[in-house]
Amino acid sequence: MKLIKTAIAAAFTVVTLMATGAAAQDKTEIVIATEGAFPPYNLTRPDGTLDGYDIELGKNLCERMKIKCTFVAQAFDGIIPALNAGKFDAIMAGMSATDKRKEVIDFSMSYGSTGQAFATLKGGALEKMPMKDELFSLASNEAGARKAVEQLKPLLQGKTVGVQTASIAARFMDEYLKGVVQVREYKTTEQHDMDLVAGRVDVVMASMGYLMTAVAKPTNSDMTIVGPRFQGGFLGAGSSVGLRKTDTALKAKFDEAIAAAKADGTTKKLSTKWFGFDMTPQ
Amino acid sequence: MDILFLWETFLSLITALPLTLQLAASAIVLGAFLALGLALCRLSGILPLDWFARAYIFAFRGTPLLVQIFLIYYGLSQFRGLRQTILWSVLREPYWCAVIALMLNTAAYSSEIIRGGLLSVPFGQVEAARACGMSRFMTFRRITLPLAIRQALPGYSNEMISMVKATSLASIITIMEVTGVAARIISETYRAIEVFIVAGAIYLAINFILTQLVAFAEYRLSPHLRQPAALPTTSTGAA
Amino acid sequence: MTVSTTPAAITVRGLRKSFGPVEVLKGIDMEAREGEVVSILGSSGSGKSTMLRCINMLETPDAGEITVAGEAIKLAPAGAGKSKIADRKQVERIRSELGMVFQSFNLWSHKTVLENVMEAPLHVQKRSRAECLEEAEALLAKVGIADKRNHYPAHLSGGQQQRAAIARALAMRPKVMLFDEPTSALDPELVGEVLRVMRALAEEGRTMLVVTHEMGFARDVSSRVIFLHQGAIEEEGRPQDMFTNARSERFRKFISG
Repeated sequence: MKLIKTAIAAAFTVVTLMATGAAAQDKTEIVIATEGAFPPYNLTRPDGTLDGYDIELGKNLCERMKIKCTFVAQAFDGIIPALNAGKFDAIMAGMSATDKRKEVIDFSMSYGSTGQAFATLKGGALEKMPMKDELFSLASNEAGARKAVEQLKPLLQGKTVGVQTASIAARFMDEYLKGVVQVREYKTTEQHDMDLVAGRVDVVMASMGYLMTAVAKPTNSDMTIVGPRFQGGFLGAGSSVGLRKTDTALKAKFDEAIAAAKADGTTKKLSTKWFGFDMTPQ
Repeated sequence: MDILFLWETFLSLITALPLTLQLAASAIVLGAFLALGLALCRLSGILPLDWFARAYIFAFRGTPLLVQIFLIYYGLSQFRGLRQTILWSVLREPYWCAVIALMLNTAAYSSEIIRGGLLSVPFGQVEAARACGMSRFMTFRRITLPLAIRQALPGYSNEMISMVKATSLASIITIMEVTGVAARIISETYRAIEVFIVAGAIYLAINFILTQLVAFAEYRLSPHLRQPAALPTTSTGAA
Repeated sequence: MTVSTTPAAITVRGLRKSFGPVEVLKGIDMEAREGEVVSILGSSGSGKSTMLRCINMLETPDAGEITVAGEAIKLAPAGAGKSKIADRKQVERIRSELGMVFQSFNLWSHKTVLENVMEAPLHVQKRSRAECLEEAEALLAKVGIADKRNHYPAHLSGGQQQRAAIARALAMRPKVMLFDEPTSALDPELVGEVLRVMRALAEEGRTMLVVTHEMGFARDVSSRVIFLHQGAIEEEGRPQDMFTNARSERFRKFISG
């Protein structure tokens, strides 16, 4: 009986919390969701434990916030509704803070930015894609980005591009290359890599940080990063912690902790460890 | 609930309906032939054929369809050698990988249903056909199979319904059938409940129509099980 | 022995058949001439049904020779003292020349009575539909169930089903009719209607081999009686001789009760 009463009371508390959001101020324990399949941001070790830049930085941030954190794995395509449904309290999944996503959830300040890049097969027709390593911002240099895309169009005409479902790369294809390329949407980025290697798609677009590790895998030895990179605008300022709109206090705490991690070189240290270059947002 | 959103979702999902139906129909039709072959292998009395069919059925009933789709799509593409062969022109396409996986899966289940139907055919009726001088093939085609189909139809309709629903798994290999499109709309709108309600309603409608069609087929194929009053007859005579 | 001058419709020589260790037929020799009605009697287990089923190869003999209308059925050795059908096409053709009536009718349950009767002429003998239909209707009238033509077997009484089965066998214009205990599965009050049809066929001069327990039919209708005991012919002869003055003690016991 007592147990049932407690359970009902707990349920009420959760409902109230979600309704007002105000009571979230004093959280001492939170659950953070990640995908666990998006290295080096997040990955699942053979023993089942989660690891990666998101996880290591997340633990560091939690220490700074003096909050006890638990990481759980969650499929990327349902991760936002699940956050709003109260399944967990925060998302750290290499997720870019896009305008579209901001309609539904809140984001902390960015904790890493790599931009979106292309990868193709070595020796393929697209290997010599121009503008290698040039970075175009959809926010500050939209005209430049459009010009770059126009330059790519003849090369990409009729090609099949693999992107992750619901990713900003998918949005990029829709906004800039619709009708030029055939888009195939995958549950995970690893799946589009497999199809790139198998020859089912000609090129993939994903975050630069992700592609850096993808091409380093022995199974992807034929894969290579090509062409320009894009960021900003709907591609987001970079990876941020996703939070419910009601959890304003938690957002403030994350912002404070991220700022501190950037200032004392933690983000630089960790991103260099995981990505091989400093992706601390400027 | 947002009626306008539901309507827009419905309009988007319905564009993917032909692909869902095409996947289901191809898998069911191709699977039926394979299932018949497997059932005949089981009943052939030839041990290697029987063992092959048993092993096949064990493997495909014992593993999740999701795993089968994955292995056929991503697994086979790992073999460089295979990618050089003519097979690759089929296996390269997500659509055909999905059809093959669904077909292989439904064949395993259907073959047991068909085998049950074949076993239910009274031996005396088969013997009467042979005594008339019918060949084995003609006996099978004109007597055994029609009787077996009538017996197997109720069980088989369950399998067809399962297949319609199973097409939703094709979305994991980039096929934009109803569930694939639903997943995309959810990722764009984050309104999982509404989108899945509409998607669920579409599957429900397909299976409602399918159930009606099977019931009609059963009615047409089974006049011998109904009361003679329903039969076209000139006079009833003395029984 | 009936002295007959007509040619042999069916000849059986040295017919042997075992099921496992049980030897069911121990070397049968018999003959049925055209126009003869031969009743085959015997207690259950005597091998009479097996003998009949060997004639149209529903059972494959282990040894022996079966000749239908002068044509010997080709058998090949299958090892371990067994034989197998050597020419499936030949057997199928010969079967279509023999009309078989089963104890349990074995009508095709998914076809109407008319469809049952038309099936073999239409699809095995490939005769024209119009001809098959006309003949089927005449046969159904002959066996007295013309009004049941569109009924399914499940909706007929046992006697009606057996008469339909006889019409089905006749529709192939068989050279010989084989009856395997045609009345044994019927309720007693339905036996008469089937026997009347069989008697009418006998009076037309059809060649018939009838495995039966109906002593009245054997005595009054058949031209010859064969009595089987434990897989061998114990006695055979004209019914008027056999039923009044049988040599075999076993047969006398058999007919008395």
